[in-house]
Amino acid sequence: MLGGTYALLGIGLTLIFGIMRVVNFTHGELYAFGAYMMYALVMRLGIDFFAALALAVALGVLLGGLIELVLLRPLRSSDIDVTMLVMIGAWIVLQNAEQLAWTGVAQSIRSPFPADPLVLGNLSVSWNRVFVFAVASLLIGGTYLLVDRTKLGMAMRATFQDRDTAALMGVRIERIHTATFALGSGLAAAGGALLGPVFVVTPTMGDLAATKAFAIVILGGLGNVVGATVGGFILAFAEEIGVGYISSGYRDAMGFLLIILILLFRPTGLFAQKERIS
Amino acid sequence: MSRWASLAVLAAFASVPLWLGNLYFLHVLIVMGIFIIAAMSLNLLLGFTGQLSLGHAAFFGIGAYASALVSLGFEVHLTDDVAVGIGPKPVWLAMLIAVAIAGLAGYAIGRLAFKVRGAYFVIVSISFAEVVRLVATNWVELTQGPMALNNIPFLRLGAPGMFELSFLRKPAYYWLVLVAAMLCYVIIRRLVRSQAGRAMIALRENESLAVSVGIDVTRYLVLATVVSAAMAGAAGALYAHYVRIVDPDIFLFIYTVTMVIMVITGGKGTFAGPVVGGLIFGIVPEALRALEIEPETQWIAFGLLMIAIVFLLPQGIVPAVRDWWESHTGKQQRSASWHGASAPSPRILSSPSPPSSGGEGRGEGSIRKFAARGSTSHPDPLPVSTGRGSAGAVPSAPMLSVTGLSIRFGGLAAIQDMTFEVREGEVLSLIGPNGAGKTTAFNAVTGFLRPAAGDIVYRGRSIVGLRPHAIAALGVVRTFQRTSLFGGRSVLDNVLTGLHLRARQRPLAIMLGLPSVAREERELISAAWEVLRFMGLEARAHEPAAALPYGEQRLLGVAIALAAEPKLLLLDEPVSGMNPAEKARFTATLARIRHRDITLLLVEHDMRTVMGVSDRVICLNHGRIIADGTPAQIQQHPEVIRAYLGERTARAAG
Repeated sequence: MLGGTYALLGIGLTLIFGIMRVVNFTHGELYAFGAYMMYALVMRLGIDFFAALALAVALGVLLGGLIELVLLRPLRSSDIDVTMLVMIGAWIVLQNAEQLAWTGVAQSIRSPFPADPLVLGNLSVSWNRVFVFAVASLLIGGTYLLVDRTKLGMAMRATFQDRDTAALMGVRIERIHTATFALGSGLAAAGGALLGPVFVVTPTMGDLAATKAFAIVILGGLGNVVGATVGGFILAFAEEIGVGYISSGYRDAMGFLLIILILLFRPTGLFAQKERIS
Repeated sequence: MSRWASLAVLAAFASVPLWLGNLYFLHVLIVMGIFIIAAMSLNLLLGFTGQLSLGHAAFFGIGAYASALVSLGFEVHLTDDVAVGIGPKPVWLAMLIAVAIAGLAGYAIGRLAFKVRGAYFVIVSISFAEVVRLVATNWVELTQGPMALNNIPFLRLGAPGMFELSFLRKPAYYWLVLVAAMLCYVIIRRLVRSQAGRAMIALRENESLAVSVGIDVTRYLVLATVVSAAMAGAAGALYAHYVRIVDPDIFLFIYTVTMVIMVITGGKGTFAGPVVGGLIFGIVPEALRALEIEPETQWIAFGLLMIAIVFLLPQGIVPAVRDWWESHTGKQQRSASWHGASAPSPRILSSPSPPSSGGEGRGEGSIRKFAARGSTSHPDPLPVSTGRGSAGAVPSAPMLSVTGLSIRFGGLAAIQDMTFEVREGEVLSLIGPNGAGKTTAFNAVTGFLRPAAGDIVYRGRSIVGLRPHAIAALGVVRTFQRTSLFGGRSVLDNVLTGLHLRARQRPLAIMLGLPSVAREERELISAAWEVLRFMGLEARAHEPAAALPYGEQRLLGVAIALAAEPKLLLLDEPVSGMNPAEKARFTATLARIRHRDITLLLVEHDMRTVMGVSDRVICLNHGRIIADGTPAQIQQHPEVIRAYLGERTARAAG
């Protein structure tokens, strides 16, 4: 179940890295932002759960676009470590702003799903998780279609291959960058909005999400959308194994161990041979 | 900064506990000093090799934990019955062990860095820190987990009762940290200003060029990582015995971020940068705290400041101040500001004046040999035509033989079944239309590309599969088609980097500052001047390479390769883009290069040059050899004419 949301996070991050060459440290904060928007809309304003979900994602897209316009556009020709530092700064600001706005207390979100789990044979799954998985799959499918079939997607793929040539061919690189960052941020916010009701919402929830997203992206190869999707499921699976066989304290270590192992043996990720985008 | 200024700064720092009555401020300064050491260690990696480590808190934390555990003693059960452990050890020993353990961790990460660079390295280093943090949290038997290691002993030296130095009180600890910081500063400075440091900077500036003159990337990345990790570990050990409590939070990402900010703010790749950055970011949080605002707001301010610095002072404070100072004091040193940007050694580089061309007998060994050859055998600029195969002058032993070489890019065969040899002492040119596979052949011979099939034998030894730096060490050195220099560094530094293979000093000797290091450095500088004089670039020695006119940049590219003492020199389109005067000058230089017993393999489009200097010419088309012969034969060869001019013209000519 987690696999789908992990994949959402991973795809967003990998798109941003692949197309913009930016290591996005605000990714986890957008995840937390999605969760908090969900919390604010459902619990404080009393908006319908599903409308709130859509709205939270839209707000994530907006925030992502804003970050790109204000912080990254002026630095487009800079080194990767310069943009990385700016993103670290933005990450610190966002996280502490969240802490300031919502306090450090964990919040939970009421979900409209029945408490009784869905039982299939000897497998029982909560309805909420089924919903999370379904929406995540839909979003992943939508992203594939967007990248693969639309004109915007084609421009994104062109930019990914060769930014300068794409620019010469009339692709408006600036717009592509903004769109990419907004899309990636929207996916992260969607991940947060989906998982917020499953777990609890805390200001630091983004950190763990971000590190996991990095693990997924490395698993799949930087910039590889298919890899990120598969990587999301692999990580979720590996974590369950980690919990089952080592100890639950090491659950979150699995991602990093995977990263290190993969980089030792397949430095370009598991799926480097395949076509990169689409 | 002059020696006196440095001493004055040091004295000012040393005097602080004498007049600062407030112990809290002294505490702030001690913690700041420890973080400055950590920032300096990070700067060695980030500033000089260009690798950003975002897991530096891991080395810091490993140092802290290792030192604490060794000084406290520990016992862990590997299984229910088997336990290993040690009793408490003296603190000084624990600290040294901690430094060694952190260095070992650095070695592991450094080996990994050989495989992954850039963004991957960043993520590996983050992951490493997270794994270490999780282990520290969960391995409760060893680390007490979140309960933290308490009552860590403080440092004392000497025999109890007789002569004992105790570092329990703050002023004493302040001086201890100051001494440690100074040591780290000196070590980093020595390292960076040595051949090892030039190799590290070369990796940052232009990795392919660095490799082509024999710099072993892995070796220097590992060296930098080990030294950096050991220093971060030392800082961690100092921290552990100061606060005397260590918990897993020491590995938090935010500590790494703090170090990175210190380095970037102060100016990465400068010696003073981390110190300046450390002072600022040591004081800013205290100032914010004095304003009595909430910690979240402090952090927000911190983050905004970080963004602002990147936007306003991307180079960092130290280079910005230096540029400002130079423009205001009206110093004419254009080059100095360039050094500022990419660091290291304005002083060493501006001091040596060219040794007079007799060579004063300072140089020894192989360096001397080169110097002597360069100055005494100065041949009369040979008439262009002498290059041509005067019979008997060219020994015919094959120096390099390429057999059945094939190279594919995906499905495209760039080179198919190519066989040729280069004879000792000759000048051989590869010509052919664009895309014929000339540069690809170069890349295969020098190890930049791995052939799909075929063998390349150099002086009886197959060099297929060797890495480029190893091939360069055998004496096969190349230049690049696109002008390839260490652009931010001075012309002299470029050539000094090229001399890499002649440097013999070990890193340990460099860090200790042994006299042999200084002696070798003088020899290298004198050899570099010889190369510059040979290429006619001595007037440009202190200018930044990127500021040279195009033709001289091409010459500098050759000078860097020559410095690596090639026996077989591969020049990739050396005269492309040169004007006729530059070409003529370069052709004369080629003749002098071959008089140094250097065999030349040329890729060139300029037919006048090719026909003028070559003994033999091989013409390629579509990855195959279509003709092999003397320049005169090639000019008549129908296949060659067809390849260049097309079918119809060829028929007309034939």
